Amino acid sequence: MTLLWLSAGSILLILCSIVLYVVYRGSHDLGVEFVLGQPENIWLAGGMLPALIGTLYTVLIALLFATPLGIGAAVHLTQYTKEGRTTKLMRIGSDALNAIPSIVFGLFGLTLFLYYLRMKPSVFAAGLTLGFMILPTIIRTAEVAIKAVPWSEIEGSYALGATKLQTITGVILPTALPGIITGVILGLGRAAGETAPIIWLASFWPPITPLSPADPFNSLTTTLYFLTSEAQNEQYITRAFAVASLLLFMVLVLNYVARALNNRLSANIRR
Amino acid sequence: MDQKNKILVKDLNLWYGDKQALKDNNLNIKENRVTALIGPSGCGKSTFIRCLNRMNDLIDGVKITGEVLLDNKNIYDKDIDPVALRKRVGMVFQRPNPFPMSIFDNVAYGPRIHGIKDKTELRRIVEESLVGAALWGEVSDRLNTNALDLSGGQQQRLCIARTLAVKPEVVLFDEPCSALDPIATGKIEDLMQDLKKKYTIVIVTHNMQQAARVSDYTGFFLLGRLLEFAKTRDIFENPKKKETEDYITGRFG
Ligand SMILES: Nc1ncnc2c1ncn2[C@@H]1O[C@H](COP(=O)(O)OP(=O)(O)OP(=O)(O)O)[C@@H](O)[C@H]1O
Ligand SMILES: [Mg+2]
Repeated sequence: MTLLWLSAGSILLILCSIVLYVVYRGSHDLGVEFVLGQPENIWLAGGMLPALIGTLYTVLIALLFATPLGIGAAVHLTQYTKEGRTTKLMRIGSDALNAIPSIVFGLFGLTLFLYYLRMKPSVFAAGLTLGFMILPTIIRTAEVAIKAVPWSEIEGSYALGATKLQTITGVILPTALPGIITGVILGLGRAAGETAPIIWLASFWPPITPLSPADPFNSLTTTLYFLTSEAQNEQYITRAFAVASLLLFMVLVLNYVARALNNRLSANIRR
Repeated sequence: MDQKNKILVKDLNLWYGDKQALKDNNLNIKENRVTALIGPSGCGKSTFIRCLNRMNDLIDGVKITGEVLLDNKNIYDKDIDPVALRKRVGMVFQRPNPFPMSIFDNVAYGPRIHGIKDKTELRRIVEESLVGAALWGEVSDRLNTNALDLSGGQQQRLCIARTLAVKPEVVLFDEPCSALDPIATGKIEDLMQDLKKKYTIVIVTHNMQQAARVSDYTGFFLLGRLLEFAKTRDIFENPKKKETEDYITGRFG
């Protein structure tokens, strides 16, 4: 019991000290101008808007790619294949994908999009690379959510003369929705927070506001990396901490939204 | 007496893998009558009733021989689509299993998947079905609330309404009251007397009094076999087989 308290306490302590320290160090620069302004002087003055947009844009592409594919794979695994060799293989594959270090995804994205497909570094290339990375998370959570749908409900649908596809779209997916959304938001948080997968695909300077997915972009994480690796004085580090605060804030808000959404939807579905 | 046969079961056998669960069953089910199936736990009542709308097709490793004739057509023939069959032969389960959506959407689910899109038409069907399931008065002012907020008995009547909404010819009930209190049970038993005017009804029950109260014909199952089948009054007052008598009088395990 004491051990439990101790570990819970230390987790909270670590979390709080990181968050407080980061925000404290970055506080000098934080403000509306910092979030919504245009950068000047290699990100050392002005705001981070282009990087914020770049991050949101790449994450959006990642989700647009990974969500339908992930749900489709989960439906296939649970509804259209018997447990056996194929499902085992797909599961091992998806677990292995999950275990790959994110920098390897970066390397893969770099090779595939820039060298092999001869594309320019772009929102699209980075979004897909992030999409590959979060795909297993989405598959796994969707699979668990789908498997948790009670058989009695599924039977109820078939007993009304529903086809398999109607049962999947009419009963299984709606009932599994809260779990699926949780997975998507987990993936979203991860995609927004990773640096390594897009380190070779993002531009550092000048600032770019990407309009089409084919445009180059900046992101919060790569800009943070850029600021620290180029650091020549305290100003760079303060900036970096301010960017880190913004990132932290984004991820915390996302987590909170995921929780709230999940609670709200599951309250509608089961009580 | 001269009621038309709605379903004729001929030499029906069923195996779960290697295990035989139904043995050589023959039975006829009369149109617009209530047929009750009784018997000890595990004797194959659910398995039998689920053969009548091919719900057992959904279970892996099930093998079936024999015939089930619905209006003289074998539902296990190759040219029969089980999906279309289940629209004609509906089923209400032991535990209420409403979908986690509104009352309206639950009842409209069946008509919608069968292609009815028109709003007024759907509303008409939903009302008619809820009236048919004796639930309309209790829910008419809150059709948009979640079905899971209803009581167990209301949920079960909602499931009946949901089944009626696809306009079946036969309704199968697998112990529909076993999760309900006596008042809710009474409501569903009353309802059955109404329903048989329009539908053919088969009900599995553990409750002897219930079988006696609601049914016109009763079949007694034991170890996968239909041991005795007759008019309900005959079965209860004058059983032919010793096992049936033992079971009915409660001398059976
Ligand atoms: N999916 C299944 N796989 C294998 N065996 C099964 C399956 N379903 C039922 N059985 C077996 O078949 C036999 C008949 O079961 P069934 O559920 O039809 O009995 P029942 O008469 O409905 O019992 P109860 O009154 O308890 O509901 C039992 O021995 C049961 O263990
Ligand atoms: Mg049963």
